[in-house]
Amino acid sequence: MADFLELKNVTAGYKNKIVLHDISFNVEKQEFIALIGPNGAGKTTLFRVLLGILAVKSGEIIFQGKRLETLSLLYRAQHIASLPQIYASNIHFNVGEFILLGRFPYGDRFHRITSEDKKISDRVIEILELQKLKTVKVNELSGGDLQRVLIAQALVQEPELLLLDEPTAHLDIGHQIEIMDILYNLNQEGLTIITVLHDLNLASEYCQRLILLNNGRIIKDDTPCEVLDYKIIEEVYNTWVVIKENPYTHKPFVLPVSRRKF
Amino acid sequence: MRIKLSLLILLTFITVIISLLSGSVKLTPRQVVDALLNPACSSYSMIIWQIRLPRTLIALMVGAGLALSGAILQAILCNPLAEPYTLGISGGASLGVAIFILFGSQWGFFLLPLGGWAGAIFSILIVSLLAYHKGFSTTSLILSGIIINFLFSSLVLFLFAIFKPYEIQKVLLWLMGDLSPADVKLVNIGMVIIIPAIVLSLVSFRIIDVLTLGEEKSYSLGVNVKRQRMILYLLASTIAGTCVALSGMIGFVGLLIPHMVRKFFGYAHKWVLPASIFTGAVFLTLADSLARVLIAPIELPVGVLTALIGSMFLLLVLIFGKEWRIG
Repeated sequence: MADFLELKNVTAGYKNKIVLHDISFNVEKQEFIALIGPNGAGKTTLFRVLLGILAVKSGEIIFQGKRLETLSLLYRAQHIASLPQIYASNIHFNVGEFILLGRFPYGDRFHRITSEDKKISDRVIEILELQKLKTVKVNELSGGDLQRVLIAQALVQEPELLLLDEPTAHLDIGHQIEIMDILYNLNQEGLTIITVLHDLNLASEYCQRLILLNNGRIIKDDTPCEVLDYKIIEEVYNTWVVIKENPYTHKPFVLPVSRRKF
Repeated sequence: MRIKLSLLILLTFITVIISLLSGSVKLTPRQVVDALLNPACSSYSMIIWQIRLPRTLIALMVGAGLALSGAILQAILCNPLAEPYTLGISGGASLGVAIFILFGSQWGFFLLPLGGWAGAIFSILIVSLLAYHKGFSTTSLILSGIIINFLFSSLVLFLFAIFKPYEIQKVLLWLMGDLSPADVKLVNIGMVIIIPAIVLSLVSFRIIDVLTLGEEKSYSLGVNVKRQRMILYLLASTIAGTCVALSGMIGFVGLLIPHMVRKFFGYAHKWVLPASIFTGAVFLTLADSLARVLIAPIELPVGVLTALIGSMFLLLVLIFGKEWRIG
């Protein structure tokens, strides 16, 4: 059987600059993967390539046995949902309307909202406990609520693969855990998740597999215990770190250390 | 929402009556209705059918078209200050009119709108080609629109330098916006273009909704952003270009009406688009009626009046509005 998602020697970038070099990895169904690496490593570029916004220069991406670029945009939207970084201040829809827009890929010619659409969006709203926010405008949401609403909109697309770009950026620790817990539960129910993450410790806690990128290449692709090795992390991030073990979960825990004298 | 929209449609009918009543010849509502229903036996049917009704129709159509076009452009460009005229249409249309006066006036001035229309379409094509080259991004569209507008406006000024004074006046009058139909046939031509374009954009309301979420999100919801944005841009600017050809420059309708509408109808384009159509029609028709009677028997150019009302309104909101968000 073919893999769920397969990247074969993918090279990609912008006009005169190649950002990703020869990226290959396979993803199986129900994996929860974090793309980590320093700023400029190519994480967001890889995210855009997976989303299909950025065309590959060479190599290929195979999704469920078919080349990604041969699949229609609507077909992709019915199977792959994404949470790009979004400028919520421009969005004046209320939460209910906004979430229903996630049903767009299933719409007919006139995009009437069907009872099926309503049912699915109501169920997602219930799962993510957004009932009280339904009439609030998206641009008036707090950061944590906004992320939950964005996840809800992606979920009504009924995807098999969820791609996220920094879902915990700008959130306090409580909301970071809240969002990651939601993703963890979704993953347990069968959703395959690939997320760009800056926070190594969240990645370590929640993801079975980390893909560490640097300068557009994969440095290491393994379990958190293997990837979060101080030698690798110090070299890639160009800083000193101490790796400890989380006393509760026994996952590795990364502490950056200043280079100034103590 | 449904009730609000029905009220708006009712208001449109009332506006039509008011518009038919106003003019230098005083008519009673009864006489107007008589002339409408029994054109053969009413002594006023000539005034109503030949002069007032075409003018009312043009006002309705142009108001609706400009407001709809503005609503679409503001949404697809994710820019609350976008309006039909910022995207090169006005410059192109005035250049078209100026060139027509320079070379084509022997064919008769009643064909002047065709010059405007050709100019508008020409500038729309140039702007879309330029933007297409840059991936049809919002910035590239807005920038190429502004550049083309400047270029064409300066060409118009250049032509002014070699024009005779009465020719300059002709162009200036046209620029001020005037709803008296040069020819009744033009009303029909306008309708043939505008009505299908309105219908096409109305059925795209959901795509427009999605496009306001930004490029990446629309793409991941299955919308081919570049193509849809191009189609909607061409649609909106064709509507606006045709309006300009019919009536000259009528400012502020395309900018102001969509904002007013969103205050009452929210942001879902299912409601914003139809509501903009009716509000724009009501606004321009009322403004035109006012322009006819305000300093009668002289008619104010309606474009001057809408710009006055529009800027006053924005000024008041800016000063007294508690929470005014444009966009």
